[in-house]
Amino acid sequence: MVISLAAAAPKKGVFIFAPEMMWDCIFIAILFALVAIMIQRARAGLPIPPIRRIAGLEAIDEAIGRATEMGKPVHYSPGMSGFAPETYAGLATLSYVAKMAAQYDTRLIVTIRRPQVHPVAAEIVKQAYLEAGRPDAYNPEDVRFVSDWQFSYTAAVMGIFQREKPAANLMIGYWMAEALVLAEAGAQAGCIQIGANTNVFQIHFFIVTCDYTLIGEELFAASAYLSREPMLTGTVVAQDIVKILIGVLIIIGTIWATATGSPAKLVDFLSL
Amino acid sequence: MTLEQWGNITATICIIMAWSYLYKGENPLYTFAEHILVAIATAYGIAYTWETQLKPRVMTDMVKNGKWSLLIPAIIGILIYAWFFKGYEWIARLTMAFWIGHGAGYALAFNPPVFLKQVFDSFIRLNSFNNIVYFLVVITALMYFAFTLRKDRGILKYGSQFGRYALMVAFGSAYGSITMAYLSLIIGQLQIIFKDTLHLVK
Repeated sequence: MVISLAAAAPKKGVFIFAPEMMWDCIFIAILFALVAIMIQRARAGLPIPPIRRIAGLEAIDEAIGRATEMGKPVHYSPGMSGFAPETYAGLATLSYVAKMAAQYDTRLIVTIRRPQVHPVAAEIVKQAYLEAGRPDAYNPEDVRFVSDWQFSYTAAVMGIFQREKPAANLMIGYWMAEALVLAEAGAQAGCIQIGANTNVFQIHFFIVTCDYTLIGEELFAASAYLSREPMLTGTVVAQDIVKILIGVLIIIGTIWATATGSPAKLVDFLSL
Repeated sequence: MTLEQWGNITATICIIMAWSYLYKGENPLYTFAEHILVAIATAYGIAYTWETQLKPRVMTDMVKNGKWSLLIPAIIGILIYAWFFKGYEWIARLTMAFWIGHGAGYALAFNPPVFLKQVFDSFIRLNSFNNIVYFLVVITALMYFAFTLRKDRGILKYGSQFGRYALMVAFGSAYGSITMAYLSLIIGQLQIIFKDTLHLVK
């Protein structure tokens, strides 16, 4: 894979500045600056707003507690993508879940679709068990690479649901057509289920089959919410400020378009 | 019997084995189908990677075209296998660090988000019911996805609630249309069983 990445690398001469993306560039620079400022504020101990309650994330403790009481394992998957933002968010949540599972002495089964994600997930789980003071409880066999092919992975995880009978099923990442199949199989196995997805064409299947669902960007706020780390919270605050800026821009643009009959002049100005 | 007929019979048996999950969850038929599927996917994956990745890179790029510089990423890739040697797992992290860094760098340099285009496309005239609904949903959905704003009273509370309900309506609509698409997949499987194999329907 690495060799293919190198072969597919862009050729020389394509490093050109795209003037039509000037405002995108400025917006990203503003976002970077805001994130840096908020992280500095958090590090300095200055007050930053807390993250609102997200029911699905509060239910993670409940789900692991239920599995502990029932003496059954917890199943976790960071989704179907390779190294994508959703996978990073899923892996950050995995760290929290693994630490909880280690503390409660509950078996955690992690299934992975993408081979490149497997060593990272295994390392995260191992580290979490170490931090919880239970390195002996870490079982590398429970962090499983299943199959790189979408429905082979799905069929195998359905089999795991039936054979291992987990009490909790956490699916935190990016999901596609297998979302309904897996969530339905989890419900059939009697799991308490928490799903998170950013795919708008599949998230409704989690809403109808899971006990709790993280919708879209809630997934990205998860690691900050769970860890309560000021540094991560600072990032979420910065993103919220950008959302406010975008909201204000849309309101101004809509008023302009309604008043003048067309947003063209404003768009031309903003497009430089 | 022709090869096609054998193919249809095999497909029918596989479909029934997979659907046996619906009747009795885990059972020998489903487990057999599951293991066959995983095994075939693994075998296919190996053959596919060999044919489309390794062979062209080594035989064409390196040997034929003399791009020996590809040996560098090849060595970086091979380092992943250090994961299997106790005490040397840290070497695999070098490759993973490179991989993750490549992903982040590539996204920033060659695939930057063009979100301002979406913002500009949201500048619409409020001259129709549809446009008003669109504007309200965009703004209230933004309110819903603000995580650090206090939303216990005022416009943010009601706006956020409206945004949530609007999202649910959108998800409900998508649920209906995608479920219909899934039904068409089931019809395809039923056609294999009843039309192509058993010839019970024309």
